[in-house]
Amino acid sequence: MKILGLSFFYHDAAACLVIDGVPVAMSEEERFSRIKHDSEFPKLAVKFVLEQAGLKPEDLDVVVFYEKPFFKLDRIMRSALTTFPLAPRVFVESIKSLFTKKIWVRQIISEELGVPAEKIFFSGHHYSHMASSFFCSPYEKAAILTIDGVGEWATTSLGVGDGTKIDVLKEIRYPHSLGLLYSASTEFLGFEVNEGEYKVMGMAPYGTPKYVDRVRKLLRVNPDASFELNLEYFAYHLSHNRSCSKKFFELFGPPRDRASHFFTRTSGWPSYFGEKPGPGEYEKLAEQQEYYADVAASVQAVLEECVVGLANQLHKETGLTRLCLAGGVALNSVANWKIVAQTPFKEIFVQPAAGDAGGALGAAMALEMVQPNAKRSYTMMHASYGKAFTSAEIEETLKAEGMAFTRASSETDLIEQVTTALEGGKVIGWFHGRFEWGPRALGNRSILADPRRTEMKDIVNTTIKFREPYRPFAPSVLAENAEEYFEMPNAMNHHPARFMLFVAQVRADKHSVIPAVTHVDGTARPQLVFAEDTPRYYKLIKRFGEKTGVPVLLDTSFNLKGEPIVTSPKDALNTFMKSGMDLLVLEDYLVWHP
Amino acid sequence: MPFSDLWTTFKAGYKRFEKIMHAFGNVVSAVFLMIFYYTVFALFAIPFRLSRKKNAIPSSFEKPHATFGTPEAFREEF
Repeated sequence: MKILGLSFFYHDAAACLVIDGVPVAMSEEERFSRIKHDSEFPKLAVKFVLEQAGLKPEDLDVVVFYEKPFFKLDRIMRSALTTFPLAPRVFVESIKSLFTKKIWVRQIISEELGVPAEKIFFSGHHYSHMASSFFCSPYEKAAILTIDGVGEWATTSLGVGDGTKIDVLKEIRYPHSLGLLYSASTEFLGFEVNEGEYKVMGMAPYGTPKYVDRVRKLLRVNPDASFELNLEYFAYHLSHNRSCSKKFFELFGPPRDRASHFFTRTSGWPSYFGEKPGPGEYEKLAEQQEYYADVAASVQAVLEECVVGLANQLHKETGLTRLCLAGGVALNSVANWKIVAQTPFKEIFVQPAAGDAGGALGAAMALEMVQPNAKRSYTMMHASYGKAFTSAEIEETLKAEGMAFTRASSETDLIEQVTTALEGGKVIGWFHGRFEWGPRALGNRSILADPRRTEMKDIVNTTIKFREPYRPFAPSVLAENAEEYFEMPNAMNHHPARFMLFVAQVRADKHSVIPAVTHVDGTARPQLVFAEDTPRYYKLIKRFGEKTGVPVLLDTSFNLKGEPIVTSPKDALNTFMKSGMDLLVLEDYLVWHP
Repeated sequence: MPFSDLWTTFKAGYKRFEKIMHAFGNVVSAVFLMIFYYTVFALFAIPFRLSRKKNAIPSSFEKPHATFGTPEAFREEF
């Protein structure tokens, strides 16, 4: 059966093609449209997934959308009734967007693809999330926990997956949402909602959770781990562009200025901020920023408490020891590891596009699994489901752009040249194979550097990616060496570590060995690299390890701040030319920065 | 006035309306919806609010809204 899964109109639009229960191609629309978090109908992603399988829209058996638009309408209307007369603008904006396009999903899909309306199906938002995780996991039976901002109604769902069935046990509904709590804090800390949540996670280790008691005032957690937000502190139900209410600011003070430099006395004042302020001013600024770091740490701590509480409750009710996580909150890799460390769930699974883009995958898998005689035959072991480019396409691009390049004589020659460059402190744009599914670069569209050099973090942050200097970089490590560097027992069995979805402590004796990927609190977000899944990347790290004694690379996504990760050789070349990278590797082709 | 003249007048008027809507469609629809919010919608919202003391939405675990055991469950938008 050929099923096209789609998600669009809210966060990250995506398309996923599943054939006989196996995903064959999937991509977020932003990778092709080059618009970060593009939420419009994923025309280009659909074109790609169909081309990848040699299909036309009429060859599809079914198209499935990741949520139920009328359920969402129900939530929005009820919410408007509940908040009357305080939210007229939310009402106006919602009605306009819903009635002009968002409830006409069946008609839009039918028109865009030319498929008959009766071939178009609808999954549930949280059900799609659950399916995206459980049906891609290696588990025959597992508990499932989905936490995000909001779907149609649900913000948190607990369930059990068994074979081809998912049983949703219970849910918590809007407006009580851990995702929206985290988003409100993101806004308060000076970042963009739905974009800056991972920056809060990166900021938290610079602070101490001193304000946990204040954060706890924002919500009440019940003995069964369900929770209720105190809506007096929030405004997301009353406004389209504000998440925090006046009372939130009375509790935490004024929000952090988006334009201010973030630093603490631990991080110091980096030279690229410009001239260091005088001692008095420096202390004052540091104190201000440290306060926000403490708030970030407190919010993160409370989120972790809630997530761990929900996981414990789910274990209590199901008795299961394997857990599938999904929803935007499942991208919080710090909280993910806390589940393993602090609950009876010792094996967990998260697929790399755990947010709304993953709904396209989940909807398709969910519909496949309710077909008569459905069987599970798939486990997601890697994220290479995007588009690959041929040597001819790459060479054509390089010639068209008038770039000087060389071609490696063999893979061994290529790896030798690249590892020599890395060892010599060069920063490399690495482009190989099909691009990754989800927001993480996992060795297919990555910027690579030597993790042993302390200065690499600052170089890559400020001259290559032009992003906030406090944000950490992740290490890619050979799977068999992971436990040598990270406090992660049975590392090879931890599936999320394949997709950089765990944050673990770097072993104390390794902090000084890989300083560029060790965060301020001694943690890292490692990617375990397996030879069978990404063979060329594995060989590269292995050779680097043979030369240096450290089988680890600094890996960050191949993009500039605010841009989607590169897709094509042309995107890679543009990014390369705009940044301070030294070498660009496009499959077997090498381009040195002029 | 002959019918053809009426039709021409109507068409011209409609074209003008279309131009205004094109330029100010957002404002016109926003004003219309705002009026709707405080009049027709209020007729439903006020009794709804009065019938519920605090929050209309439960704050602890609820049973799921929908189940997806068969392909039929995926058929509709609701």
